[in-house]
Amino acid sequence: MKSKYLNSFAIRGLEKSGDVYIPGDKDLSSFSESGFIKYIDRQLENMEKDDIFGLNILLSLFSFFPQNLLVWSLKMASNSENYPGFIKPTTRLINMGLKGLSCSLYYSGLEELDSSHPRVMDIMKWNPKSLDSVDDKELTELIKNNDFNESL
Amino acid sequence: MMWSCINLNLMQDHFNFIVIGGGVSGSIIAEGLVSKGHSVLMLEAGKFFYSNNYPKFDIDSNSQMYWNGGVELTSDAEIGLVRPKMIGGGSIINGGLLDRFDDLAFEGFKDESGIGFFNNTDMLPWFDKVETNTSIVKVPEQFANKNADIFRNGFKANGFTCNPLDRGQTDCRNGEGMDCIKCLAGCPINSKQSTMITYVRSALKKGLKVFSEFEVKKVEPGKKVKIHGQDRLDKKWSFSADKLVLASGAIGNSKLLMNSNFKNPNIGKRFYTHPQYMLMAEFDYDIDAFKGPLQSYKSDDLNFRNKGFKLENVFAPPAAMSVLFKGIQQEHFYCMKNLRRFASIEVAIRDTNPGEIKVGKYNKTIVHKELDSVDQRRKNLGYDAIKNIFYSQGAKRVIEGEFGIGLHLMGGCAIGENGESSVVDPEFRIHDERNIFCADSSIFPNAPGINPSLTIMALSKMAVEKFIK
Repeated sequence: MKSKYLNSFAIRGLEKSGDVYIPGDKDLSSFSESGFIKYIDRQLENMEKDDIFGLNILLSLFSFFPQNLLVWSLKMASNSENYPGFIKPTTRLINMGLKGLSCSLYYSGLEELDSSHPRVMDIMKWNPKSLDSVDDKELTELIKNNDFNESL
Repeated sequence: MMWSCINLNLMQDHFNFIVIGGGVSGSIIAEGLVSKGHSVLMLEAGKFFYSNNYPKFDIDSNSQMYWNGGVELTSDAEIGLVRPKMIGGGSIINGGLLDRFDDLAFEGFKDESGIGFFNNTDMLPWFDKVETNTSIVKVPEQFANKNADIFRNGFKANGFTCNPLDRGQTDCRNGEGMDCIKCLAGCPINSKQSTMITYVRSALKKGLKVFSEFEVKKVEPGKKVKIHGQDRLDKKWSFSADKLVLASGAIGNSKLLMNSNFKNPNIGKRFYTHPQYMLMAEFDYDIDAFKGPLQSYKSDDLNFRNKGFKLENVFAPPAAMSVLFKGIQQEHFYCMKNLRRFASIEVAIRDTNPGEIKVGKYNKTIVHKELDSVDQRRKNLGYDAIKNIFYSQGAKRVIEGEFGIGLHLMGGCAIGENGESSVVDPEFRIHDERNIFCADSSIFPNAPGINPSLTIMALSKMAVEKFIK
């Protein structure tokens, strides 16, 4: 797959680190097997450019790690409570950033978009109900007539 | 940088008022001003989101409805700041809790700012005006889910006091199958009383002009205030106004004033967030926290209040919960796969140690915000109370969340009588600036320890009268 924001090494690094948080089991496939990574650009489209730059470097580096070294690294990153100085916030940032990226892709219900994905929400039995959205024609018209952004 | 001053046929470039930020305060102020016949332009960096286009998937709501694609971390990565970016602001994505300040909160404001109107007598008419325009009801107890039952019964078992919470809503139709956890990405049935419903619609009918997806970069004070920024296509625009209202929140206002070379050293200081920490408890039966109302009860315990914290009956969608669970591999995966069996309560602390907002390289937001020993003690007291509640209800184990959450972003442009120690004066005017005003959460002089929404609304109502005086 191709991304507008991540290079191919970073994509591989994200798949490998995603498997650390989502290893899968007999019911659910792992992060890399799930195919949800193809939606990564939806997640990154409003992220600041220098954050994406840093993400590419980190994930590209991780793409070359053996999986057991990556597991060890992220385990260390997730136990950062007593680390000194700048190491603690840096490792916390890495842990939460990578967990956030992979888990948001996996646990957002995106399987509705493609039947090839694992039925994560069904298997979790997480099924909140919603009534039909109000079709707010009045507001639609008011926005169309009063928002300069609509004229661009 | 050169800014082109444009007057295309499709729009005017001078207004009586420009309001920067379309959140809770900006919506109310804009509506108040157009109602008095003024020409008003609202500039908002985010989009219009309403029932026709709320994102369906959490990944999209996180990316599109918040700054920087979801969460911004403080410099020590201990607190994730959640900063809404859309017309209607936090009122679109919050829980809808609307509480008046108590005397303790106003006394704290008055002591810090020296401003006399911070009391429940002077604020009463403004609360009344807001509550006339917004439906506030007790969340019906008959629809309370098991997460709420655990909260209520655990409070009772431990001798704590809780009550049904007051929420801005009309009829959430929980009996017809509506689960309000969906509303954290916008209420699809227009029950939740976001300011989009209660004020923006009315303002648009009265002639409010809006420029959404427009990011203001700089303001220039003067007899006519100039505003420079750019649209979603990176095209630069300039507008002017007789008066400017800053309503882009604690971080937005502070950054804009710093980027515009305002020299007041108090800008960005005294930043508070009511840091919130979620604890999750595993039970050996299904809790299904997604069912019915998201929240039904609030802690109403004077002992908690005096000790500087409160507890909230909360949960969040799976994508958000996944970041809160600690650990990796099967430890983390197990929690997510069994999310139905978890209940959650959070402690929100009335933080005393102020943070600071700065602007870093590439205009990056830098927020220093740490808990001192007083705040840490408040957090620990809340943890103890939550664990007692959960274990009294048969929890198998309790897991502390990975990090704190900052939803109530307050301060940075504190209000005060004294220009040496504050940014905004009692007339809601930036000190020494004749035509630039501010009345949103950025003016809070300290943390009230109570949900700030209703008071932001009341202060914004009051401010409109002062702007046009």
